[in-house]
Amino acid sequence: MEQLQNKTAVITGGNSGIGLATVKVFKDRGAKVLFTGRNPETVAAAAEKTGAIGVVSDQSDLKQIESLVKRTSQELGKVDILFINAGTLRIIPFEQVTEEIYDDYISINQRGFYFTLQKFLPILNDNAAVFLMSGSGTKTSTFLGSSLKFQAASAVNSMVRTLTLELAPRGIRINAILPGAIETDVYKHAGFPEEAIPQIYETIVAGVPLKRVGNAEDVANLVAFLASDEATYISGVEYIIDGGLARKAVF
Amino acid sequence: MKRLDNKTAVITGGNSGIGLATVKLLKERGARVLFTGRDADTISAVAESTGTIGVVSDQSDLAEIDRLVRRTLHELGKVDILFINAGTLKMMPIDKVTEEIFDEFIRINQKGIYFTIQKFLPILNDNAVIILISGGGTKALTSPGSSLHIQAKSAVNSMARTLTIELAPRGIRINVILGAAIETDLMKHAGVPEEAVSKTYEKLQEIIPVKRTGKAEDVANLVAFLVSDEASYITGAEYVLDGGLARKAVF
Repeated sequence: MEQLQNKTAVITGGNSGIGLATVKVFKDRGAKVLFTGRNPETVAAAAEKTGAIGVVSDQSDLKQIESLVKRTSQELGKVDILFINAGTLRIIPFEQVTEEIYDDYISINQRGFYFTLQKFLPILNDNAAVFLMSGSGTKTSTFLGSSLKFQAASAVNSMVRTLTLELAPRGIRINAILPGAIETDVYKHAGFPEEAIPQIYETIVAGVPLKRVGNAEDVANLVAFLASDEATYISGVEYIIDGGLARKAVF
Repeated sequence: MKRLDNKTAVITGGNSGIGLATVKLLKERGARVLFTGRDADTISAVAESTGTIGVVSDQSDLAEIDRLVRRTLHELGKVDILFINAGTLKMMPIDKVTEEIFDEFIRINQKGIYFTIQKFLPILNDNAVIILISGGGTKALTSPGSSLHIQAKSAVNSMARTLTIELAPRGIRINVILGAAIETDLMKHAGVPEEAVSKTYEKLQEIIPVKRTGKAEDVANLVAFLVSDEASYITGAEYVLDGGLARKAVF
């Protein structure tokens, strides 16, 4: 089954976690894939392992996005699938958020999404599929220190809603993926001590109806389906993938 | 690779429209399929042409559901996939809705769905998947005369939410598809004149961001993905399938 044969795909943040799993699934299904990451070593390792094209690029910097678009155009030509997945996590109490921390977080996780999409538009094929990774799995529940995370995620969800209409004349679909608890390195990257992380996942699993955390592959499968020609009537949606977490009351 | 090899599937209302498209697709992907309908002639024609098992059954009658469960166990053994798709449409101003009309509509489109799930539970395999279908895909939008239709659908959405938690201990997933503007014979069956039906679809085509109405196959593709092992982390979800319609303001 080669659902994505002859399609060209760009995945930001493809050097680890959900991005890397998606690079692999897309490759497996026949797509030509280019991915980005900020760490040259992990980008090179992922490129080697998957046979995809890896590019070092930081979506918080508009100049780098422009270089990425040029490079993509050279490597792949026009693009059928754009998965804006790169992002960071910052859990921090409200009163400790300085202007610098705020700007840094928003420039990666909100502004970077917006302008990546804007700058890729000229090289997207008509009928392309765009996916935004929203950090907000359940839409309604939050936790302490999540004020940055959820405001950026809400902004990303909003981009999907409004741009559905603006991109539709070219047949471009745009959808948001809202994962719940997916096991990736995001907590490690956010500075959590390694020994604390298993405890975090254990606590989460206790609350997930299906009694497991998600794998990066679970999300990659959903993206691959939505990117395929089987999903051409799906646009403007927010698809939750969370093992039922959103349905669980806290008591 | 056939993604649904060795799976057993039951589809209610499988003799036309979305149900029929799903019967064909699940069969193609390797599942053993049993479907129901209320019209004996179309059922045998569909069973013949698709190579599946057709059973005459009406989900508004609990005794018939009991018989269907026994027949299913006899024909397929235990069930991996249950797609409760059967339903009717009634567009009617509130002042014309008699108690009889109310009870009949709710018996088919709400109570029948609830008890179909309940009575199938004993013969569902652990880790089975239930898919419910809810029209009124956009949740917020209604049209005049839709008070019966949308209240039953809201109840169906609620079943998916609450049963997510109750079925999870057995690993059973339950999801609801919120389709909108899917071209089927539903309006015709509801007694809407053919001319008005094609006019409605024409108008919808202009409004829908992706510039087409949905096909039964669009829904079948999403069902086939959600019931596959690729979607094993998705439960309690409401997946909209509407060509972006929900994102369109009325002005």
